[in-house]
Amino acid sequence: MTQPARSDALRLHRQLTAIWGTGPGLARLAAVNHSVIGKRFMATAAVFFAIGGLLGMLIRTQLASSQSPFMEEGVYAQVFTMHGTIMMFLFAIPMLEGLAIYLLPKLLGARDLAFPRLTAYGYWCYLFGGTIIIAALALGVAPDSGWFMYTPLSSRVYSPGINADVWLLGITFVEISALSAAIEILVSILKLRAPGMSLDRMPIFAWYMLVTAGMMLVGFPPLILGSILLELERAFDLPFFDPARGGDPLLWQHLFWLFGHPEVYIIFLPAAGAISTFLPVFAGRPLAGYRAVVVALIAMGFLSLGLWVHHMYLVGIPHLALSFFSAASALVAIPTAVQIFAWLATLSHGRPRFSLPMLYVFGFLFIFVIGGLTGVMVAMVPFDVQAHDSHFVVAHLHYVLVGGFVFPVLGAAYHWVPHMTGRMAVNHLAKPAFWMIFIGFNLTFFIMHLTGLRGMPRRAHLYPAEPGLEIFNFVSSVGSFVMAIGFGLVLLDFALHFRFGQAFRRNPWRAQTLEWAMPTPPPAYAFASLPHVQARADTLRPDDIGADLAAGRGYLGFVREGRMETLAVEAIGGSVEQVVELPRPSYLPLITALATGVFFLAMLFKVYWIAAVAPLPIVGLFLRWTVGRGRREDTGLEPIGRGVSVPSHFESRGAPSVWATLFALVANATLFASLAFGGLFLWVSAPGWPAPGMPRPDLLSSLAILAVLGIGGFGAAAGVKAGAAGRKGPQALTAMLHAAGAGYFAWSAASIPDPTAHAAAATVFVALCYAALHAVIGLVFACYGLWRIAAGWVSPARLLDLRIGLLVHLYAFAAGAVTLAFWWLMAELGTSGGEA
Amino acid sequence: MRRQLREIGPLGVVISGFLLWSGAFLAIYGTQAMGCSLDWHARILVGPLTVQRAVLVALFAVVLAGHLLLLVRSTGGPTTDGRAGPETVDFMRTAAWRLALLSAAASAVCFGGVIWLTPC
Repeated sequence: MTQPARSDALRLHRQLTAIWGTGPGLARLAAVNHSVIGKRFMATAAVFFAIGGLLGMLIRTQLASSQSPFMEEGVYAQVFTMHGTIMMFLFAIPMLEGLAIYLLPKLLGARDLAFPRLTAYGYWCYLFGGTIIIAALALGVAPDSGWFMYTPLSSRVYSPGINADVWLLGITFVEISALSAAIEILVSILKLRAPGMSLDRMPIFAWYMLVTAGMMLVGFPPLILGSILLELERAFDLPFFDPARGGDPLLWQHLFWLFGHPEVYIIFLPAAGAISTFLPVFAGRPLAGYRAVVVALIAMGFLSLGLWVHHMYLVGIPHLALSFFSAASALVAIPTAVQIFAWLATLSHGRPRFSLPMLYVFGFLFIFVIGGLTGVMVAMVPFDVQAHDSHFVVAHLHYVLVGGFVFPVLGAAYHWVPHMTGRMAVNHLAKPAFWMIFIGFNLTFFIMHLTGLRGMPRRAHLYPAEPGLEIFNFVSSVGSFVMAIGFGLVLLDFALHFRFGQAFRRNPWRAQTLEWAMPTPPPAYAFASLPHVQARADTLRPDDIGADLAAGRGYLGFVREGRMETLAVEAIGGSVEQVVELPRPSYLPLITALATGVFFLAMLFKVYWIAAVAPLPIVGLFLRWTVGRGRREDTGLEPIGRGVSVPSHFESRGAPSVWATLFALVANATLFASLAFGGLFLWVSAPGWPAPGMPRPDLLSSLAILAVLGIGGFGAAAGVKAGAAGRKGPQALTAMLHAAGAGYFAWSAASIPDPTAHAAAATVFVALCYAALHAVIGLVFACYGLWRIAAGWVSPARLLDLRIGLLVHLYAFAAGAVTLAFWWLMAELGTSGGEA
Repeated sequence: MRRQLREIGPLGVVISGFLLWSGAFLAIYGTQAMGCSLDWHARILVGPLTVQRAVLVALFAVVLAGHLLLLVRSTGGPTTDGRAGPETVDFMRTAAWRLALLSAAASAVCFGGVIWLTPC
């Protein structure tokens, strides 16, 4: 095969735009492009931030005087719950997702992320889930149990209305976008980099996002499991958190904070990554201590997963266990400090320009360091015992989150909005806006350290009319309004920027990263051709590279059969490996998200027959995504320019979708492990054990199903080779064995006499349902494999569908075996142990 | 799957110290909680040594030995599969060594309390 002829730059631009561009009008709803979706994420998150900020002002209005009649306590509970919920779930995480989605391909030298339709689906899930939650607020039925929804306050007994369900279902709906983004980001960073970009040459932001996405992958499943269990308790009376029936409210706290504490770092790390990217630009030299920073943030990622109990010091955990968490909480300050010293070293060794984004860096450093120091204070058990649930903690968390996220994000916005708009900011309002935010923030929250130490509890809508509290609170409220005016000025400043900003040609900040090696605002295809990276990706010369790439002198500097193509590399060394064909814009992500929304709404309004049927169209729609994807004949090596040829991802053993499946299964396994942890935790610590009448599995049927699962595993492995030869037998056998497994586990779940009687039975019931569900998923994949073989999409070279299916089959069979073992274990433990 | 694991293996080596720390965290915390539930702290093994303390200290020792092993391993041998350049190999090796050291220190600080603190 010969390489297609190169076009000139303009013709190439037109050809690529025709293929990659998003259509006008309603076709915008079909957008899958990362620039479009990334901006939508950030704009939507900004709207939610405004709503959350408004609620924050309502809180401060209430607390401006001690006995204010402004809000009655029920409304106040909804307002503070929604303030926290919106800021954490609808603003901070989606904003970082949006930033990563917009920036990563451009920093990595790729044309898009690995799964554009998944990105779009995640966005719609976020929008619809967030809308459900905000609609509940408007209708006066918003969640009101605090943003961490502790049981039993959020259980049906104390929250009989729909409020808690809105949180559990709405947030789970939104978290689909977080998990899909985590998988998308992991695969894109590991595989969709420019050729030559080995791990040691990656832009530092990619390292931050790699760690963040890994944390999201294992951090979110415990929360999703907790939400499912609590919703099951509320809807169907399965008593996971009811101490009268073998449950324990502390299980919720564990599951929530297993997510909740890493969440703080999930929010902070991307913001720190943004600083590590743009601070060197203004310092005029590359980031100091690149290796030390990479090591520090990997250490930080792990350590942050071992801190979750530091939110639970007062629940009665033995001193020894507290020491594990207290030590980890203090240790995590060290890698944080490494980054701060790296930034200071970069500044001190460079020739800093004090442009506007740097103001926000200094604001960040001042505020975040204070938040970090109070963090070390509350990490110490004796101090936390005094400060717990007081306004001191409110002050600490705002110093960490606003200092560690909002200030860096505003700095990042002033740095990268010119990239999005192609205009430089006007900046007349920017500096007053910064100072109002900075002064207003410190006025609002520094004082809360003092009110907290004077004993003012968080979440109380009234407080004693003492001068020490009332004056401080009044000053705090005034500060919040100053801060709000500052944010208003930022909004106005950006509006002026969009309207009156001065156009520039390229790279106004003289940055040395790849996102500036393209026209601004960026075209849909990002790079007209892809670079070969030969140095660390924050020491490049975008002006020179950009001109070369625009002229098509990089890889893929041509259009081939109207395909959307980018390159994938070997994960560590960055040698080019395959050409990836991405899917075209489609309404399917939107329609699938709508169908998903129907499921969640049906659950919310307890129309369970619709909820039971809704997965069918959802699965059907996901299958529809695959129609037309793939090749009907082998294409072999395809030229990508510069004299190099590689196979298409359909013919590669390491296609991005195989990686994505692996990561999805890791998240799935984390969820299942959290369930197993829940069962064992209840056995160890919950009252009401041993469980009365705990059902035992039958030995004979257990051995039989174990044999089925074992044969299934081997059969699935053989199915790939057989499929390559066009034989469908092993796939059909796999399908039948999955059907048998689904039948067995569903029958076993149904045969548990009363899952509502005790938490042990309820836990086993959920595990059996999990195994049955995965057997059904395996069945769907097996049938899909059969169809792909029959329809000619599979050959000895084109085995992608079967390889993905194999991973799912193996997981489903293994999950069945583990579930069986878990049942035996719980049956054994159910007759002993616990705190009777 | 084997191919993916092989490809990403060097990164796995880099984080292996903290993977061990994570596993140790779950194992030691879980054992401590289970031991308290089963009254291991009330069962005297020898002198002042209870079953609870003995099991936890043994686990701690195993974890430290694991870290020692990782430290020794991370000082030698390349950590990539041969497709990466010398700079990348050096980068991965440096990161693996530093993280092995940090994770060992983290284990010592986090779990050292099993030797003297009240277990239940």
